Amino acid sequence: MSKHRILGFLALIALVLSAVACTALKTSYQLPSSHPPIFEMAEKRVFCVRCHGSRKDDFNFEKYNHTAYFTDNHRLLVAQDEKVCALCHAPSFCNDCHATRVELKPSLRHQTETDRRMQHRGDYLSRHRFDGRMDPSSCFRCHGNPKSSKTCRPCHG
Amino acid sequence: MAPMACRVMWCSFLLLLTALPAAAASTPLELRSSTILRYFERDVDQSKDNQILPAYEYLEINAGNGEPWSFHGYGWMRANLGDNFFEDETKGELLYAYAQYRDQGTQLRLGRQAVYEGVANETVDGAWGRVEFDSNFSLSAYVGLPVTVDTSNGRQGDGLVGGRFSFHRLGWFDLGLSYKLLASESDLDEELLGVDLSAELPGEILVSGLTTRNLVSSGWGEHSYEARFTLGEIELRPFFQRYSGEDFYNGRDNSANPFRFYSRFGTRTTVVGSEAFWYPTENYEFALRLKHFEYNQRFGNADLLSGIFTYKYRIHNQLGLELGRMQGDTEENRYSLARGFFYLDLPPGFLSGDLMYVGYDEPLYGEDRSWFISLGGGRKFLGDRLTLRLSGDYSIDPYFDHDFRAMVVADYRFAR
Repeated sequence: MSKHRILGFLALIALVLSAVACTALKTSYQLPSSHPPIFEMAEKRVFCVRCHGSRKDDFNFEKYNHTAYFTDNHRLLVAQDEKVCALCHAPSFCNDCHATRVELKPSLRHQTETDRRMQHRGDYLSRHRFDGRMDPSSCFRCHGNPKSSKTCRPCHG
Repeated sequence: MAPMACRVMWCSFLLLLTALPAAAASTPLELRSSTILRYFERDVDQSKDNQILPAYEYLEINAGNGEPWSFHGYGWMRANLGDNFFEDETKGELLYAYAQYRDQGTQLRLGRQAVYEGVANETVDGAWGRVEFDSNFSLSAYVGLPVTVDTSNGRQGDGLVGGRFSFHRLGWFDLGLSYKLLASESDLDEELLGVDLSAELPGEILVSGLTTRNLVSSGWGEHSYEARFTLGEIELRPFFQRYSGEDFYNGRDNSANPFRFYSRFGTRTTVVGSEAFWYPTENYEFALRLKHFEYNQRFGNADLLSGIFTYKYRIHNQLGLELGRMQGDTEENRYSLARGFFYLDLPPGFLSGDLMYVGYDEPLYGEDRSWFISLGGGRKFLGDRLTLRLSGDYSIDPYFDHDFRAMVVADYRFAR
């Protein structure tokens, strides 16, 4: 076994042991099933810490702050914590972008919501070739299957 | 989905929509309707400046919200008013329709639904469930038919199965192991294994990430990792992403062009960079992003620098400016972007708009710039239950000489 593999294996054991040790500590915080409705919270870009504060010992609200780039980078949060999204957002909110077949792109479906900085705004038909060349993974995540790629196929075959 | 099956799904959905209120008068019920009328012009074949007028209806139902048993449905339909521009396109889609059972430690769903679990970002006709064993362990699993793949061209017998096991402590860490398998009668299209992690480290540093292993090609598809920490008043989010074309993209039946192309030729993409945020007061927000792209084939490297300044007033009012520059190794990968936007909350109404300019270093179809302007406004009626919006946009860009589009939207919400 190579030196790197041994170090990796030891790091993994240390990580798991640390995690096991952490579970012995009690936490009093329980995630509710939904957030109380406030204003049009689920429709606007909000900062959780504004009400919850920046304490991270019970629950790290800060990582869910909807920053100016949140539309682009919420993927890792959702992969682990879809139930946190569901506290404020109905599934339809997510499905306006993440769906098998959405004929109206999100920036058109919600055209007046200029504060949400949706990806396909403006000249994106022209600009998508830059993303396609430099980071096609960003296209693939939403348009990578036969149904959702229907918008790509008239030009890309 | 075949047209007949689509019709059956829609009819079932509409039947539930009408039957549920009568069947359970005391059940909490929420209905949302969004009716959209669009107008734009397109050249079709030899015919120029055709006026296109599609009407859309988005319908959502939530029955039994907050109770152990509930039903949720959402879908859209389109009708062409006086033209056949979309003749060959889908006329509607049932996005989800599922019954849900939920108690303190168990959640079950049956029907069409979206599943986001580790390596899965899928829509499935089937069942999904999650069980919290105690405060440290949970297991979720799903099984059914994938909605993204058409049963046609001799392809049949599609099946999707997967799940995620999580070892976690709320507010400290979450370590997940996820799996997804998609196969038809004749082929194994996708088999993915993923490890996701988020952990709070000393110094209030949060790290999170996802690694996927493609079990069909026996290679690492993706490594995406990021950290979040504060430096004085500035919050930083450095990130690293690496994708292996052969193992991340899929060249099989369940994929599509142009992505099948990327699954060949040993392509590899690396994206590294950071975001920085500074909030000097509650009203001001500065955001900066630097992204460096490395592509091992053909196009060389590129750097994207972007900055956004936002002025906020009473939460909903926003005024912002975004500037960006993509600087690629080659001229075809260079552009500059400027965008200004506003949203004014004027209860019971609102006004919004944005103006965008993009300049391309290498002209596209002979054009080296594009302009886009949009303006919109709306008003609420009937104690916020009805919202009417009117918006329009105009653009000049490499694809359209002069493109004007208009939209009227009526959003209605009923809740009991």
